[in-house]
Amino acid sequence: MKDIFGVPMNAIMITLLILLAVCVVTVAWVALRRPVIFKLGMRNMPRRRHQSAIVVSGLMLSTLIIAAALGTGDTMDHSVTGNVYENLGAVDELVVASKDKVANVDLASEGAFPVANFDAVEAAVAGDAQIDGLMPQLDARAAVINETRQLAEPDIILSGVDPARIEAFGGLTTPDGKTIDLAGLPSDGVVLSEALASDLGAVTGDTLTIFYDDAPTTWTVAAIAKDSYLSGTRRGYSSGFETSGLAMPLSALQDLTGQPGMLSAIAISNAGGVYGGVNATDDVVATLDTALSSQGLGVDPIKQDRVDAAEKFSTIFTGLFLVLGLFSIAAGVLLIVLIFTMLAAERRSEMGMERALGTHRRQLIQQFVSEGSGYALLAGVIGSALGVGAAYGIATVMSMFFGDYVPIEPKVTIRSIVVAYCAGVVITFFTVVLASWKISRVNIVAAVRDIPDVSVHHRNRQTLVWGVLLLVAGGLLTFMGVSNMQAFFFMSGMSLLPFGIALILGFLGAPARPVYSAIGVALLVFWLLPDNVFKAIFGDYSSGVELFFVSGIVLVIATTLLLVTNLDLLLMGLSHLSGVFRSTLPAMRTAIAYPSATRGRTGMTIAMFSLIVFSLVMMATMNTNYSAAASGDEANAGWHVRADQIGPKPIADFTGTLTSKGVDTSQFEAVGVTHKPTLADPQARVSGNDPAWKRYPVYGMEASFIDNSTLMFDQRAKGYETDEAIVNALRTQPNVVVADAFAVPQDGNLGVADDAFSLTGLKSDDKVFDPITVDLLSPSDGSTHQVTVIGILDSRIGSLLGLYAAQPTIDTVYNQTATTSYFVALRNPDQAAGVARNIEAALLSNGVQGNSIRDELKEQQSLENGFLYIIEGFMGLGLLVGIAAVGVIAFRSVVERRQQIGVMRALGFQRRTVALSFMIETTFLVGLGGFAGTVLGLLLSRNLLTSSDSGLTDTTFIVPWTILIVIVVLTNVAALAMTWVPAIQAGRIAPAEALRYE
Amino acid sequence: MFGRNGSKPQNRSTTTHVTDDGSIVRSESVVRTYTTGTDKVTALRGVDFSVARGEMVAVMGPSGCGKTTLLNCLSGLDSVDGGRVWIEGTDISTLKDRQRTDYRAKRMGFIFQVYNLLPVLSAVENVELPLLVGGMRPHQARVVANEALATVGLGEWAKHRPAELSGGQRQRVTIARSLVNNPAIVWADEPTGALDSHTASEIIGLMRSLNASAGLTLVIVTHDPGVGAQCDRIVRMSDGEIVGQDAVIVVPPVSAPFVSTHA
Repeated sequence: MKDIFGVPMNAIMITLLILLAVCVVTVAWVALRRPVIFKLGMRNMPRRRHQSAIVVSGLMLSTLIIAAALGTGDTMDHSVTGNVYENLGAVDELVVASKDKVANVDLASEGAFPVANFDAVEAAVAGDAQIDGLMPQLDARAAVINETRQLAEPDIILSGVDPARIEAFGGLTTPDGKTIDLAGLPSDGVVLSEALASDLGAVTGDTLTIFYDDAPTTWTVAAIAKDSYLSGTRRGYSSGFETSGLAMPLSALQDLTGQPGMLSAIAISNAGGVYGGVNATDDVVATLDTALSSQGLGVDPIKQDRVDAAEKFSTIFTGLFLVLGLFSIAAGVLLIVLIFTMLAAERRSEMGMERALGTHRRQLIQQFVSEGSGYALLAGVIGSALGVGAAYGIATVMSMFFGDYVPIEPKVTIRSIVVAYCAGVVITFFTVVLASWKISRVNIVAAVRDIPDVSVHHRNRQTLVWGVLLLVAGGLLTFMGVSNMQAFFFMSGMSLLPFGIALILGFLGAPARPVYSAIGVALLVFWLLPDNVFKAIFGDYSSGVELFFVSGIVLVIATTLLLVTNLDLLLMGLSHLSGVFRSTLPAMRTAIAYPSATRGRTGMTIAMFSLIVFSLVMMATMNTNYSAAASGDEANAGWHVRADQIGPKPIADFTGTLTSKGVDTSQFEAVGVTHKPTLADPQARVSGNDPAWKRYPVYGMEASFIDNSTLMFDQRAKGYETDEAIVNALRTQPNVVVADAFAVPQDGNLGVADDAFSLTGLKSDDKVFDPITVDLLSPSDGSTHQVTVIGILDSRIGSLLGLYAAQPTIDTVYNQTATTSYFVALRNPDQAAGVARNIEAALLSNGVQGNSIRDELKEQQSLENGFLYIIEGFMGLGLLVGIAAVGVIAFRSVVERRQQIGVMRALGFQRRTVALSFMIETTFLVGLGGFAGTVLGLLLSRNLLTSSDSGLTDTTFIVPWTILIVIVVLTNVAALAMTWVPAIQAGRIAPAEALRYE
Repeated sequence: MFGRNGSKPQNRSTTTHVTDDGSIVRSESVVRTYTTGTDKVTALRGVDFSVARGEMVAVMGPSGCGKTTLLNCLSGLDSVDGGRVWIEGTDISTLKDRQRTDYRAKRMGFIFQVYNLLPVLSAVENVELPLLVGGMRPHQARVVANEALATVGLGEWAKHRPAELSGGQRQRVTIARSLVNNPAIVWADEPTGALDSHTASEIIGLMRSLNASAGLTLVIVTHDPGVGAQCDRIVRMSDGEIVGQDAVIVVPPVSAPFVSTHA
């Protein structure tokens, strides 16, 4: 993983190391110049070990979350790039017939070139020290049957490699590492990749029938090789899916395919080995470009492109985890403040005494910072270690979900550990400094006598200054937002303005309750405005994923303000309610009195739980609603089975052929056909807007498909205001296409689709848009054809992805067919899986693969759900922060209230009543935070899901009750479990002893 | 005193029980030993003690002599290692913690130093807490607690929190709280310890008047000879033992109270 959010990881590490050095030097300065102050701070750690353990547990959580996020990124990086290196081996570049130098050339469809080109290339690079191997190769796609086991695969890669040159590329090896002698194979011998052998249940000696171009030939399994590029295993660049294959001598494949003397590619191996060779790619590509200039060939830097793509994928993954982890990190920061506030409360008398004896405020800060740094340095170590453990745990779960697609191998780099450690320590250090500064403002007399500070409200010029500063900052941000139509700046600015106004009103003597209540309400209304109302009032702003975090923070602050400012009213109501349960009334009375008396602490705890629950509820709700939409009846566009056939010769009468082969077609309600012109996605771009060609699937629809599909559209071009108008245009007008919803640029995609084709300029909430002209590049002659996008398919149709046009339009552009898909609508959709199997069995010799569309959608959904569960699990780490906070508060409260507990016991409180009081207090705080987080999460999700750009406008909003109940129950049970021990301890305090306590 | 129905003081003889010898509190050979690290400290060495109904007794002695320990053991706040303690004829030394707690809630009041109010509750909430523990209805408890505050002169301060009250006011709240459940006996540990002399005099005067007007039984642990002089009897302790008991005779009008006989 090279960067996060575009910032190089090395730069991040160096910056954090510098900041860490600043922290350490600051503390070292205190230790050297003020050794007494340093010792006063540090001595608390060994003296109060139990307390130190609790503090360290709380402080480490931010580090843990950062380390887990970075470690997960490393794991993805290592697994995906590792898979690239393992698959490609020594192959660094491919010389291909394609001239566009775009990655993902599908060798089997890009065309072949004569072997003479190989000789010319070899001569041109002879003596180049950066190239240590060249190998001619030929690729083809075919269907295969293992006659011995009667198992088949309709689409495999046939890899023809030169036995004389394969050794320079590492050769073919068996899974247990033995070399396979390709030159020594019998004339009908082939080497199966391990994956294909597994699919076919094949072992050495089995008989295979290979159908190339519908013609069967018989072969024998001579050996089984490790999955690799050489043994025919290819991974799609955009799909990411692997196609398995088999290898045979180049000449044998040339004979089989009827292409004697022809090649698909020349594999190039750079000097430097499997991992180091890629460093020479830029030089080698430059050399080859010169050498190939007159030959009509191009270079595909396959390894470099794949490694870059893998790194980009892992960077996006890490970014996503970090952004979602921000909620937990924010909660962790609140926990640090809370911990130090409580430490200060405990030591208030001591601090007052020190101040009375002449200790300066800055020295108190230095003392706390020394102690805090000690905790932070230790917590960083533990947090990093546990974060690495969490990353391994996440990797294990990922392997369960995605292991079939990419082998997941956990790995956390030293750099990530250093970054997580430094980030954790630095965050803690600066939070401690701020908390210490606040704590040091102690009233000496009140502290010495251990009585509450009497706060006298008087006009403070600082308040006015802060008020004005906030107004200015808010105004500037709002202006920036309005100027650039960026929601992040606009909404952040608009959220700061009320605080500035409140401080100025406070300076002018306005009472706090109405002012801050009004701020809370105003911010809640502003952020929870329905999308259409917001746009009607403020306009249409663009936003990214960062707004999710900001929205959570602001909504939680607003709610906490509202709750804490009006806590007494809330408690009054609860107090009255508690009268119903007279036996618990004394416990209830004290349980709600304490949070009411310590509003800062209460506010922080409520905010922490709100933040965490908010993020979990948001994620769960969005996931549930999108899952429901994607698995709805609309997803299949009216089709239940899809049979894919590779090759340029479609079956003329699909139903008739099946009937003739004994398949019961009476249950077929309709059959529709689409064709894809090329195996690899063709290239397209928005005319005039985007000079770069991007690959995107393109399909031609026969009339049977258009007529029998249930085509619905989210967005329609002007002049095509209804679904019927678009469908009619597809039937009757040339050069019109429709696109799936993924072609529309999305806000907040973390850069996922940066290099993917998109209809730039179109927004997902443009329900009516000007028709968009798109250029399509014909690979056969390099000519450009223009088509017009007139509709965007409903995002719920998950089975149609790409640009779809009537077949005559596609024929005009490409004049070729690479694959054909036969869609079948069944009278009884429940039979889809069986029908798919029957079709595949009947048409195996045609290389047809049958699929149940419902099963495909389910599998796709289960993968997406698996990913989201992992994300939710990661975000659930934040619950540890909240639960730790409850533990810290409860343990500290028992110490703080020891004497008061003695009084309560003297007055007749039973042990269980004292314990119950603590449990009720926890339930109250956690319940309030959880309730606020749940309501906010649901409201914001509802707004987003019902907004015009969600793509789900026609669906009913689903509340994920089961997940909500799990979140609420888990949160409360865990919090109560953390309170249990201190509550019991509190109950066991001997009254006589407590009353003596000082 | 303050009845559960909010009525004015009832006849104490209908609500208190006495032991055979007429005392409301009686102890025999009470021993209490504490372990501090490897050392054992005997705080009470076989203390025999009794208090008559309606009596106001001061327990005095030097620091560490066992005064507070005696109060804790007699009131059931602490358990005893030897000997027995009867309150109103009930041997509380044999009661379990739960029973002792119930007994305290219903039959005893406590006055500690100024900081032993719950700071998060208002004055009236502090005062009504023993009533709520005893199971009284919240509305009724509030009425009784307000009456108790009025009796100690703090009717106007009911909704203030302890931090908003002076030391003397806080101690008045404590007194109101100790009386509100109509206790058989009130235990006071250094009730004037943190007060200035004027306020201390007011507080002890208030306690004396409650003792005189309502026949309230009070046991006061104090260092202050002035407080002792306001009591009916002074019990002197030293090294965990009672070393003397003095009856106090007040000589009106100008001279200070003095100690007459030595037991």
